[in-house]
Amino acid sequence: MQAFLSIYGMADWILRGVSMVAQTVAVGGALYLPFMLAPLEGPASGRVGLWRFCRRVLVSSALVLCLGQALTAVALTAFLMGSTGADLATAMSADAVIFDLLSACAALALASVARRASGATAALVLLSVVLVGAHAGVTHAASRSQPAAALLAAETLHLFALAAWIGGVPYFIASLRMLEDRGQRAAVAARFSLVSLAAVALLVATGVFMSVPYVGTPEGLYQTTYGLLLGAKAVLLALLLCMGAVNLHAVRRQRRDGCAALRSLPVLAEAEVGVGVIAILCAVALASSPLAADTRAARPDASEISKRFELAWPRLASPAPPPLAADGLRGPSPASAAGGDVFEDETARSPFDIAWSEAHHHYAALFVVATGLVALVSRSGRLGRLGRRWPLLFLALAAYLFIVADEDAWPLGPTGFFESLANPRIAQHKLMIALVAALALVEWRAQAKKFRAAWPSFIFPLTIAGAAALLLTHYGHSGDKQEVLVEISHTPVALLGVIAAAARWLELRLPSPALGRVAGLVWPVAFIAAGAVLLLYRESA
Amino acid sequence: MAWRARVLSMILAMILLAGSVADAAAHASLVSSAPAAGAVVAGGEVSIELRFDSRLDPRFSQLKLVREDGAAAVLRIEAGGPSDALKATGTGLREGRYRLHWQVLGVDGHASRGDVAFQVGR
Ligand SMILES: [Cu+2]
Repeated sequence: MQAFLSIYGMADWILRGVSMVAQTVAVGGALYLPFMLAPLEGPASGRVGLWRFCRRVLVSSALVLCLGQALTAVALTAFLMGSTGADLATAMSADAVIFDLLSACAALALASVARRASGATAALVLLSVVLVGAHAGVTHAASRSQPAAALLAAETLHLFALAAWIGGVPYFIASLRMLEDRGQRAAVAARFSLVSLAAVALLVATGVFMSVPYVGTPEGLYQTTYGLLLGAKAVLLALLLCMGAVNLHAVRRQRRDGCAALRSLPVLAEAEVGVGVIAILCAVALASSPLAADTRAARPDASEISKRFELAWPRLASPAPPPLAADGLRGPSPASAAGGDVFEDETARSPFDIAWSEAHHHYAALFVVATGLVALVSRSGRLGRLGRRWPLLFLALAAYLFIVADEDAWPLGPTGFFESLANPRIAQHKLMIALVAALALVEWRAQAKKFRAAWPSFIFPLTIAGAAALLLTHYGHSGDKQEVLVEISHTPVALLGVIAAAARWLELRLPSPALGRVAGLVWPVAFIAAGAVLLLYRESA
Repeated sequence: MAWRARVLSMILAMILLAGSVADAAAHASLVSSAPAAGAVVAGGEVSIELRFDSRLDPRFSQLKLVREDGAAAVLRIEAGGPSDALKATGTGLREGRYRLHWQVLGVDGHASRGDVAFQVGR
């Protein structure tokens, strides 16, 4: 039980993320099938297969949602029983458990309605309303000290708009690929772009409406974790809108000069899905952060923030570690003291810790900048085959990190390699480093065209996107001042990572060489910019 | 129909990505407390009030007072207060450092916990 209680927070977070994505796709499908696909007229070529495929996606996402919500309810029940000694009936009567179970039942019903061939539009829409309503029941809007009906309504509409737009995109991609009749493709594209526009307008309007009481003051936007996450979400929305604008342009143009412009549409939509998922994860993180308006903890002021971005020479000299104590330990570091005596300040970091962390950030930044530069210059063809070897820079970064990441462990410290893996913190570092190395090797071989299949080259942008998502949302949400200062410097890096990942994906996938060339310039520039921000990173004031 | 596999694998990747997000987050957070963190209060009877940014389910809220020698007492939470606050009274508090440990469940299903350290002096 103790083991479960310690991982509960993490398990709950994962289940919420999975459920939110699944709900968006399921509700998106429940709106897409009756309102986008059903009204199509004319020849049925490709339509039967498309309908069947979309229904399968809808059913699968509804089943994932059902499972996710049921597990959320089970985990919360177990957590309440284990941590408060409540009995099963009491634990299950908690509001959140009831809402989760309601949503699981609605998802199951949605799956079974969608499985039937005849489109029961009313049932699909009704169940979507139940799903979104149950979700809104466990949000900030519902849990505020004085819940307001207007905020609850805004939250519900916000979730609906999200599903109609982002949740509809996977079905839209399938429609563009599977419909054989050009007129039908054009009809779906025109209708979906109209729905997307309306959904975006609704998202922005409800979002702004909710953020006024949630953020409180303008300072809340940059002085709190909540505000920074909200800002990141706004940037992601802007990114989605840019891609949407290109899409809209393509839809307009194809009406004039035939089909060619439509071919880049599904690829842009793929990138849209990726950015949309990261925005959803941001929203999940937002839902579990304290509202900026309620954050009373010490906030960094403008001068403290600008100090973090002051131009200064990067710290590339590795600091000398303080001498070891007799038992080979360096006294309580923040990580090792966790779970220990709460009478001590666990968040205190020694000057050595700070110097060490800054040096690491700066070395990593140099590798990122170098990668971007080499990739950019190699586009001119001047570096020849050498230019395609930029993944080796990542390999070098992995090797460097392996040596220095944990100074107490092999090869720098007295603790042996396998011995050190027993420490979860060190094991986690080594796993990340192994991932970087694996990524470098795969991308190296992909650049050298050693793979027959195309998919290994997609690993690079997908990993960057995953890392960016993690960087955006992994904060502890203590609202603590130091945490906000770290987040302020890391959020731009994460957003540039999203841009780089999307651009690289588009470069690889776009059929149009002109658009692909633009994307191929964007990602190295985003890399260089991210590296530059990281080079400025400092923890000491 | 290789692209079909791609759409499906993309959805799988979406879910995996969602799952890879680390670190627990807690929502219901302390807005104010009496005694305040780090405060020095007079001994004997100390009235305690914690205010949160979310409505709580009182059945799953806990308050525990821990003395620096490790002795701990579970406090009885007063019924009938506002839904976003916990009230209790600590009795017979001697001089020394104390830690008030709280665990709550917000109605949005986010459980959270924390500590308020204070001191009983003269
Ligand atoms: Cu960092």
